[in-house]
Amino acid sequence: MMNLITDNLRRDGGDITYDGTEIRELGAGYRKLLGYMTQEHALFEGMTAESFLVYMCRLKDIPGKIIKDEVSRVLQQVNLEDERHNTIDSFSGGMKQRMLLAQALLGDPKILILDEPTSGLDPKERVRFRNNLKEISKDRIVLLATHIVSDLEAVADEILLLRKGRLLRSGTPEELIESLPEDTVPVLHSLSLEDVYLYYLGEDDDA
Amino acid sequence: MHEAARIFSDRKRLFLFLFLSVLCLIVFYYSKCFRYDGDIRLWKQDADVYSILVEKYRDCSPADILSDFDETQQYTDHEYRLLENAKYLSSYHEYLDNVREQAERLKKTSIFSADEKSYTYRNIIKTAEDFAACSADNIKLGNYTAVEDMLGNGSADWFYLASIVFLVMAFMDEKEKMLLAVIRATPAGRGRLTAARMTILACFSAVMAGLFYLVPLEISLMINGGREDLSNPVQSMIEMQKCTEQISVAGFIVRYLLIKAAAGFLIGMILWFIVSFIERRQQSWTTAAIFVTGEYLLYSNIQPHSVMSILRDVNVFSFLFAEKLFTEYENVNVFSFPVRHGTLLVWVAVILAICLGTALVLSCCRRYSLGDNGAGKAGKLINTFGDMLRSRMHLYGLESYKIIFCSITGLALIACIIGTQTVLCTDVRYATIENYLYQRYINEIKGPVTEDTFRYIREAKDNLDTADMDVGDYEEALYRLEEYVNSIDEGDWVVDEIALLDIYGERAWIMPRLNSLMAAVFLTLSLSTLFTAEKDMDITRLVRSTARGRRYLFWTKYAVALTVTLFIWYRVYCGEWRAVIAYLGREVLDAPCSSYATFRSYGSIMLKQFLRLLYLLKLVLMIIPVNISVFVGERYRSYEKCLLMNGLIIAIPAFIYLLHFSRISFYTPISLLADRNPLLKGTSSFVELIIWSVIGAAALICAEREWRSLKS
Repeated sequence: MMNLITDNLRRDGGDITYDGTEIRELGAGYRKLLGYMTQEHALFEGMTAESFLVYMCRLKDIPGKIIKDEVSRVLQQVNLEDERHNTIDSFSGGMKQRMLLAQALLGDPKILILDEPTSGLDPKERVRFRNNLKEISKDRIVLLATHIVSDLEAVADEILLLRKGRLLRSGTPEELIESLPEDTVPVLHSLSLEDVYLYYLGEDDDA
Repeated sequence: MHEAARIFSDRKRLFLFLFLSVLCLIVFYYSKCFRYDGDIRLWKQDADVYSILVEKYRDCSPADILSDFDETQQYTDHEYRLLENAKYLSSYHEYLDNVREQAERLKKTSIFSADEKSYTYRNIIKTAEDFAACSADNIKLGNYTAVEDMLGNGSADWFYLASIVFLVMAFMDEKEKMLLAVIRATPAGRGRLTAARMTILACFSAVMAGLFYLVPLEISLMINGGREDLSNPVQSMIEMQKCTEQISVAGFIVRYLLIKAAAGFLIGMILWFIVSFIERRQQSWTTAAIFVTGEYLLYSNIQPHSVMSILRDVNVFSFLFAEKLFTEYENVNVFSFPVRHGTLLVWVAVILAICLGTALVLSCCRRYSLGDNGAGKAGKLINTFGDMLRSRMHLYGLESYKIIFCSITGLALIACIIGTQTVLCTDVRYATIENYLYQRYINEIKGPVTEDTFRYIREAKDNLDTADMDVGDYEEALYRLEEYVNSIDEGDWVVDEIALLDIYGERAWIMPRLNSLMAAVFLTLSLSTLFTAEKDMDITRLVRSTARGRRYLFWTKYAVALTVTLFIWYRVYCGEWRAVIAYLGREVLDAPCSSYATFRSYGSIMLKQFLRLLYLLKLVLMIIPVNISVFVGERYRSYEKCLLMNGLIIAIPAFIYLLHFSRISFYTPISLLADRNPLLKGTSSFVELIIWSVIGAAALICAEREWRSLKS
């Protein structure tokens, strides 16, 4: 689904529209609105953090005048300011994850697509990320794909449960919890989104 | 043992070492055999002629040999060579006497004898002492072709260096695969592993020295013979006139191989130290490349007796090109004491080996390389400065930076700079002995035909009339010149057609093909990474999701590819261009092309304009292999696969073409860059040009489509 929304995969059928216009018609104009964080640690490891972000700014067609500020802003946001002149190959997995998030945030994108953004982050960074996400999700679309259910509870307004590419159920976290049968035995002390996950998707590896 | 098994059980690596060894042998074989069209039987037959000649005169004194040949007769190449050897043998004792007499004379000269503690005085004494041990009594005529072949096989040094570099790369596997911390945490992961690797490096250097130097020697011995002459004193060879070591030819070979093995070991240690000491992979290899390039530039540019000659004398390339330690007599000034260059290098090698060995053990055992050490801080400082520059760059600049500094392209371009230091334009001489005087006369009056031209001929004739020597050959040459000048059309110039044939004649195919092979290899090495970097790093989807990540990025990358091509063209073909101008002479650059029979069809176009056109066309034609390389890069997912495919499509056919398989010209665009250039061959290469241009254009269009197409 991520590949379809980012127009990286050929579609068998159907439409994907933004503000009523097919995204392929919008072309580069649509991709200007995108901020995409992949699941893989896909970075140019020989580059420094700052150079990589400058490179991404150029690819995102961000005006040259604001690139420096933009790079500083996102580095601060992901807490990598002190590492800006270090090459990425010296980063730990968590730092690379934050670098990926930083590049996605460049240019203040209207649509933010995050694929497993918190995997590999330590608890402190995860909390920081959730708080950031809450902040930035106020005025944009954030599409978050994750297997870490606790992340969703903290940040999601609406959750879509997909199985094999088909929509199974949708709603706010509270609505989904309420949709569970009354005799559901909670995993923890009370019912949570993890119970929703186990109930609806528990046996499905492709969820 | 396990470490050796790990390194040599890697099929790719093993294939690479074997490939280098086989390639070295092929290059050696063809360098010897190309004049026989690659036919080993013809080579053997020709070698036998010289062997028989040497055999015939083996027991004769040099004086007898010289008296057996008439000074006025025309000699064959073999006879000429034999005579040169005989002359050398007969004059060797004279040479020794001269050295001794000169030393005595200099000792008595006041400016040298004034200070007996000066380097100059001591050098005179030492030179006399060294040569005093030499004797002309035992040197003998023999067949030393095989040893000369071994010494002349310069390409082996580069193959040897490459194999050492690849072995050192194998030592860095754990760094590449992020296993450094895991390996260092094991009991044998530090000291024992380092010791094992040193042993492997030493053994590998010895084995590869044998493969790269001894095998060609053995092949040449089988073809040329001369095994029985290996026991003669080494001074029996002309090349060894200045050698003062009292050893046999066989002894020299053993020493030569030992020095080569030691050189390999030492270079390996130095590179290994650099790449293991510097934490960041990219920085470490860049530093190693800068070190090797710097050493080579120092070695090749510093004059032997300049103030900075110590940087040339104590240099890794002095170790690698070890033959000069024997063929040249040179003392180095060490605190006013003259020390033989070879002796100094041996001591330096021993000291360096001990120091580097210790440093390596310390670096691998004691240093906590995951921490932030001094090198890391220096690297950060460089990065800060670099980031300042890069933040102002546009996509083109950043892509250029990426390809040059974050991939193997930078190393390929450094190799290109080193490899193209001297680009030659010809290696054949169309001139015969009869042409020699004629060409000398032409060179005197090259240029427009004026009254001065005719006056020169008249004066030359007058001079011959008054000369009291046999001037028959001169008269003949002058007659030919006069005939030629009289036949020149109005507006045409006096030019040296023979010199032009040396460059563009039918037989002058080696250098254009060799230069084109160089261009093909550097293009392949430089561009293979350009379109595979994203796939190698698994970053394609991320890049494609950006506003400029599709068509714009493709054309930006293509612009970078063209810039790299421009650089390679500048190094290879502008070098060739300069060599052509130097060979033909600047004074004929304004000559109309019609002055040369070869270029008559180009009419009044000036030679310099034609050359500009020719070399600009070469630049345009280079775009064909570039486009193919771009297409291959787009099709294959990894750098290695892309490099292999580019090698198969571009470099290997160019190499086969170099080996005089002219029929392959149709199957490689490189032939158009060499002696099948449309401006030289006219319509006969037109079909190739059209086909390859279509293939080149199609490759680019397909690559662009592939780049921006959606994946199913």
